Amino acid sequence: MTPLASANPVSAAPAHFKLKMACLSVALLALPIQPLLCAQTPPAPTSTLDAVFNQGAEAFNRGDFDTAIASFERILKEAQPGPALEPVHYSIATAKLRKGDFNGAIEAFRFYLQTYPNGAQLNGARAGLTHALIQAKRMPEALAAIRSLRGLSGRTDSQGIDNFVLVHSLTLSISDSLIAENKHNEALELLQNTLWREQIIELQRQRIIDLHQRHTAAQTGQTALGARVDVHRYADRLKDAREALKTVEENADFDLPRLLRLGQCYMALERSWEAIVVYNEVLKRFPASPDRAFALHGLIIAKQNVRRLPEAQALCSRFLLEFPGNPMAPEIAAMGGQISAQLRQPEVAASFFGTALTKSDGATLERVIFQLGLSRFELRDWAGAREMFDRYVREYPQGEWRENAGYRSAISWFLDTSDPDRYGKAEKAIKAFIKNHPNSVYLSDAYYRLAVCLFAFQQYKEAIAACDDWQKRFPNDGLLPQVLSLKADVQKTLGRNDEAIETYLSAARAAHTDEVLHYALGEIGRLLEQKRDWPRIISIFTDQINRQPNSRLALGWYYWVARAQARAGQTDEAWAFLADRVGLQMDNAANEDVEKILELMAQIRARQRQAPADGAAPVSPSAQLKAQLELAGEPGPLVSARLRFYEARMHQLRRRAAEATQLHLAIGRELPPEELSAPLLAVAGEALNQTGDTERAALFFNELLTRFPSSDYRDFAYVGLGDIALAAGRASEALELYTDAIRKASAPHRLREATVGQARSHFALGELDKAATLFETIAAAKQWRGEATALSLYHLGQIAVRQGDLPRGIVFFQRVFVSHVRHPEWVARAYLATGQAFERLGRSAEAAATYREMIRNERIATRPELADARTRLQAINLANP
Amino acid sequence: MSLLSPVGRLLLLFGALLPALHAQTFHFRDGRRASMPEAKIQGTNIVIPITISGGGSAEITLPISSLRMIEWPAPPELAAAEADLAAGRHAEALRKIEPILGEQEPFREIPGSWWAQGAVVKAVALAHLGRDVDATVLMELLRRAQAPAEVVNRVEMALIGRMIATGQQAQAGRRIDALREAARDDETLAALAIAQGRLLEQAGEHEAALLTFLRVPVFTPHIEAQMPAALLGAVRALENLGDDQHAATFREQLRSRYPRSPETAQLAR
Repeated sequence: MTPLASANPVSAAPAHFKLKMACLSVALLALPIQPLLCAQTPPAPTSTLDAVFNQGAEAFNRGDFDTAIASFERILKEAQPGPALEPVHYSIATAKLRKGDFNGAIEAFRFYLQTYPNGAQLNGARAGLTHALIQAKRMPEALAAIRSLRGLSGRTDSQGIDNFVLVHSLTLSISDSLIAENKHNEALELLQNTLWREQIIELQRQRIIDLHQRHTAAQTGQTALGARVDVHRYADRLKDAREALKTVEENADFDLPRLLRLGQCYMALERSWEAIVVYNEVLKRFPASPDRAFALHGLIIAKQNVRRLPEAQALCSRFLLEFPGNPMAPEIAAMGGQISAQLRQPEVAASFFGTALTKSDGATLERVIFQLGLSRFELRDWAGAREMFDRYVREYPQGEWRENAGYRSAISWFLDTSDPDRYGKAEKAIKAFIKNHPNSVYLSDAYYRLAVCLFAFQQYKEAIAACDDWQKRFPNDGLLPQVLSLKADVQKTLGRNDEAIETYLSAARAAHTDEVLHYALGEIGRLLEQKRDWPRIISIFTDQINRQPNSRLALGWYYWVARAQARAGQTDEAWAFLADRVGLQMDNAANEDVEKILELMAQIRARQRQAPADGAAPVSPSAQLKAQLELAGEPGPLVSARLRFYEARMHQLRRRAAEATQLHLAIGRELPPEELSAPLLAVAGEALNQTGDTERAALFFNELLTRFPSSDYRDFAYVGLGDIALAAGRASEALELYTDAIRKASAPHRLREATVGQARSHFALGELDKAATLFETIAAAKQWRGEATALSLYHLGQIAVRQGDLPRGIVFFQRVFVSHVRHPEWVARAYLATGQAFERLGRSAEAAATYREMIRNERIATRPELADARTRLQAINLANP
Repeated sequence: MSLLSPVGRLLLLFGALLPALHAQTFHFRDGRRASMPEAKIQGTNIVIPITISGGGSAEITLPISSLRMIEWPAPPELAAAEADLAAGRHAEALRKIEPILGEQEPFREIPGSWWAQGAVVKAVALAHLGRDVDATVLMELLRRAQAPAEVVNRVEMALIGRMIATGQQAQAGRRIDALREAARDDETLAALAIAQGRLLEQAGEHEAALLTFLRVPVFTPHIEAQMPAALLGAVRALENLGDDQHAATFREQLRSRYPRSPETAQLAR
């Protein structure tokens, strides 16, 4: 007899997590019924009852279970009771099970087990009973039956389990039923107590030994208990046990279905971390099994649940790579898209959704079309977004997102700045949308955009009317600030500045985003500046500061107030105003605006003439500020550093760079980095680096990056560390750091230095083409004109020389010492390189002339390159007397 | 005179000692049995007194190596020493187990002997007390005595635990990997998961530590001895990962299922 199969493994899983389980390979009671007395093919009927039995067997084998049952029951009525009827009872029970009479089968199997406790079909009967209980949904009894079966696993006598594979199979069937009934805790407990493959093999082998011993004992007619046993029964059971062992030994993936069910239970119970443990185990142990697709699927969802989105995304990619044709692929692709959207990676999201689009159908397809539209929208692929949104509207007129899709399609015209007729197309599309969706939630936005279109068409009066109409329609809508700003823009365009100022003021008052607030106030400031209405600027911006003192825009408002005061001739008031504001934050290292305000104060003071009163010794700027701030006693390290920073800035503005550097160095050498703000760490670190104290400089830069991971001043640190690495010969590391300055920190302060650093790193790494591209960019940048230009030209010359084009190299070098005389380092190096290039070209006379010119140049008299030049000149003279 | 031969008489009388079975009984390969206190252990022999019918007594001496098995009640000191180990009282466990080992030493490789169990307790205690070499020697003796693998693994796990506690992470990691390849029993696998979880935790790899600790409740839920440590490890890992919600779930499990465990006490800190 073959082991029972599991129940149909397609579980009624929760809607969010479907899992189609692989069927176990065994068939349910596939073999034909055995004849009465032995397991061989039935002999030619020798009696009526034998004939009846054979009829029954034939009926069973062709699936006519009613006839089979009738035949077997006739035998029971007519035959003498005895052991010979054992297979008949078993056959009846099996036939009832196959027929679907589960309750009947339960009764029949129970009868068999009671009547034949050592029967040849003992294990088959147990399994059949458990299976019938499962099918009859008598789960408590089925669970009891399986537990009772398990309890027999340690027994070596005739009651022990012959077929552990069968018990395992039944356990999985019961677990499937429990899962279908949402009894995941019970299913979990059942699965966790199931044996593993190795354990089953060991137990099965031991059982075979036990049965073999019993069989042998039966054959010799002797047993330990002296009882007579049926040789054939043990032969059947031994065969069954051996087949079971073979099944499990040949199936290396035996544990996989159990693990997948375990994972399913954990997921249903929202125990995602445990589910991850299980799925990882599946992927590790069964790297080649096709069913690992289910584990990957579960792992993706589990990783999402524990917010490991990048990992979930990577798993989606892996799934699509390993199982491109799997039925779950569309769902996985859609999930990958959603995860990518959550990670704000619209390009990747669009790629996933694109894949899902080609494979999906039904509800998944609807969602994918819409989401692909959203991804393209975010990528500013307006035509692509429109394609999807229009398709959505067309194919899903009652769809959940039809209104959203319709509106996005309409405004995609509006947003497409590359289309010269964008406003015309947008107006048409938005009007059509309004007509089709008169009650849409997007109406306020739609009417706002129509007003913008009128402005774009220079229909100013109509635009103002549209804004007024909008205010009547949507008096409490959140877009009011934008509409007011638009109206003010139109008024400004019409030259009605006073009206515009008032409207901008209304917009600023209504604003709930920094973007609109910044815009409106900025326009107010500019318009009032045109009118030179300083008191009003001071009043409006002071009012704004008092309303939102902690706004991140506050610094800009201080600027307006201070600038207006200064323009009005109230420089002291302006300076004092800023000092009052900055005083409150002087000991707050996290507030980078402090240094910006100190800079502005330095700018104001630097423009003033310095006239010490009554011939008294001049008061240092930092002392002056300290007095203004009313700081008693010795200020702490941070405040002290900030005072020095302020004074250094004053020196810089008064072109006293050396004094400024000394102050920065003092900050770097005397004060602990862990107390300082990001701007202080930046300038001090830079000063230390420039004087060669690279170790302490690195300390400052690393402190900046660690404590202020979002600071605007991070580019100082990246560039500084890059310089240190490059000087130490670690060009790859340096390149990464310079690149980080640009990519991670946007290099607001040190873009030139970062770019030069990248170019020099490429040069050091021998990546001459990349280096050349960057040096050319630097040399051409007018805003960077200066030493960077000289440096770049020099390096371009070196690149040309390395590439074998010496004349071209000479041209670059000559540009340096002809046009960039203010940079002696590069002038000297360029001269020397020119002479060397001429020598290599065999043009000794020109080389000598170059060296002589170099030696005569007083600006580079102290440069070390001169020694080389003299040596070369001497050598040329000796060679050419 | 009896018709029995002298030897027969001796055997009869010898056998007559048996029906009243005593606590310690020796079963010899030739089928004979003898019990204490009448039978005595002398070095590597068992000396059995016999009574000669008709008067007189004698003794026969049988080598321990001729024993097939012994029946010996579990020495109460064994359980007491195990309890000391579990409570972290390693020196006390060592003190209690030494006499038992001395007593069982002659029967080291005889089925029914408690030597292996005692040796494990001693070896684990030695490992915890930092006497790694002594523990390793004893572990080798256990192997030679063909103690079950899971018994020997207990000692190995104690040695690994000691390495982790004394900062020998790399060495501990290597031994964990080696043992994982060989171990088949759930007790060892669960203990390995705890040890590896701790190593990962020390290395700051909190997610990997979490997934390792969780192997205990997921794959070996019946190994209660390791469960509190696994749950505590999971709580700490989740807290380090910022997942307070799931940490709370495991914390509650630890409190409700193992309220008096040392790990639950650590939660309060």
